[in-house]
Amino acid sequence: MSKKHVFLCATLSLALIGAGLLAKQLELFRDDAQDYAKYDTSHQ
Amino acid sequence: MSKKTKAIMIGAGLANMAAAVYFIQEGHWNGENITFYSLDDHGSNDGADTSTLADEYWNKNHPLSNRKGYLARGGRMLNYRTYVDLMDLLGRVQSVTEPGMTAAEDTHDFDAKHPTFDKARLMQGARGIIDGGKMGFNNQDRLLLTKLIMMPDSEEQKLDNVSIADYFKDDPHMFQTNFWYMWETTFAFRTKSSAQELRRYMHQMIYEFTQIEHLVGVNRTRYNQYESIMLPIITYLKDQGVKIVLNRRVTDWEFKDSALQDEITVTGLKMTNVETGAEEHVAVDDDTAVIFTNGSITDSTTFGDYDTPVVENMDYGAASSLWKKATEHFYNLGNPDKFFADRDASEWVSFTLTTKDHLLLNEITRITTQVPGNALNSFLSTTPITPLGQEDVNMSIVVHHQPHFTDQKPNEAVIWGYFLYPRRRGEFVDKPYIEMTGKEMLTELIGQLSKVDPGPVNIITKKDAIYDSVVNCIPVYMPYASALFNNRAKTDRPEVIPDHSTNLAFTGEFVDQPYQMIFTEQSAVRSGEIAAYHFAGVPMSRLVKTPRYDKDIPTLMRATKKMFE
Repeated sequence: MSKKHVFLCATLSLALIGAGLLAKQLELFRDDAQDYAKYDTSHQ
Repeated sequence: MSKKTKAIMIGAGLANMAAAVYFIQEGHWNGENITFYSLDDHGSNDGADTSTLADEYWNKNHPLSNRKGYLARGGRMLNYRTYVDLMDLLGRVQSVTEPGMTAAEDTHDFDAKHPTFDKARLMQGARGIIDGGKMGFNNQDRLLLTKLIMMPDSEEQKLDNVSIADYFKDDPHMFQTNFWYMWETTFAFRTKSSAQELRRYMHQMIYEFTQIEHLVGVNRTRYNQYESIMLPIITYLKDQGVKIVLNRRVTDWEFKDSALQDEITVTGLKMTNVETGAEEHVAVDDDTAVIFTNGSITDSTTFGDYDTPVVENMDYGAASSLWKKATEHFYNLGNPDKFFADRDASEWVSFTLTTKDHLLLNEITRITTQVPGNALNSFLSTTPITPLGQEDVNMSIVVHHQPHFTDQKPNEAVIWGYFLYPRRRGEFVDKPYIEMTGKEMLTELIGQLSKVDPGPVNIITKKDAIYDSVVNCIPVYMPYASALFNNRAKTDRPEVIPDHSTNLAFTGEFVDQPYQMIFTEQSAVRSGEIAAYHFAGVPMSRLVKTPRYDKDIPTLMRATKKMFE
């Protein structure tokens, strides 16, 4: 692998890790519906 | 068993009105099974001629000598993008002023013809109109705001009992930024307000943050809040057989005894008929839900008039007093004292000015360069006026699109304004704003306008003519106007359906619900919606979906860019 390829791979990896951490911090994929489940009486 | 078929509503503000609509339309309840008990039928969404409101409960002991003109204690700016539950509700009832339109279509129609674009959001003597697009941040400001934006919902308890002043205590520069001047006066935040609520605002209003200086995201109703929002809902509910019993102050609870006192079941209510003084009792059976709006920012309000200042009413508040009674029985119903025992944190005064011609309106249009209906204008001091020795906003005004009331004469104009810190002294009348008559508040307004007047003929030369044009100017003192923003811990507000509650729900601006910021009508409606769905057995999956701009990467990138402007 050339130095250029190593650099690109490293940069991409860091970007993906950063994006993952950001997504985790912002709770990007959290389903807000779970906050209301405890109020649901439709099954009664 | 939580599902019910009847409801008693304590409070007839927007939150409980919303609950009633959802009970009927989503829960398929019979409207005749819903009864409201309340002092009035508008809560904070008032708007009427002065004589009508002057006879209401809170002002009975302070009669006005001048009952002419109009009065609205506040005004509401909507935001279609985030107020999704409110717009859903308004889409379910017919406008009472525009035949053939729902209340939602009514506001959309009006707003499309009169979009907001504020050209004079901030003004200051010697500078005139300030470019509010320049936020004025330094790096420390940006860092602290970014920390708020990056804090997810699950971590908001880190801001328990942290005020805005606490949060920025090492960064007093924040309070000298254009951002802060606009933010505090757009939303009525005070430095003693909750940083936890500021965080929620930064999240839910992140899209509007990117365009805050022109308020382009602000949408307005055609008329005042009572005629455009409350009356359509009230009319619908009455048509459905709902009973609205006014002039009732609910004063105490009867709860079922349980072994560990941790079952919350209301069995009765005590109330006073404030017209006759009679004490009344309402029994609550097993099939009835009790929906309680546990606080009102307009409780204990008092009015003055053109020649009379307000007299402070020291009442703790009708709704909040009842809330306090409930907390004496159960541990998990919050702490009303955090919101209603510190007036210094929440009070402000507003005024409603009615003129018999458009002289003042035309002068404001000339000075601000914008037509009525477009704006919120705030006047910055030119000298330090805060405890930190900083400049701050003296007063703000909203010039409504005219007419603001349906029976307003074409030549009349109605303008609203407010002083966020009512104990500060005036610049043109040497007394605290709270002690001013309506005429003195108008004198302050003319003075502030004269300082930013580009000329050639200064408004001050027309002062006498302006005074002659006045029908009335009503000062309004609201000790709890910003109480919903008071510094708090997460547990200081009850949940909409508290743990162990079998038939009691809390609604309005003093409840804790996921994500929602308060003082928006949106959160009030959503709390009513949740309460209704819970007791009617409607799946929570049918709740209106909440947009999350705080998780939208393009919006976050625009917000980041805005921070550097």
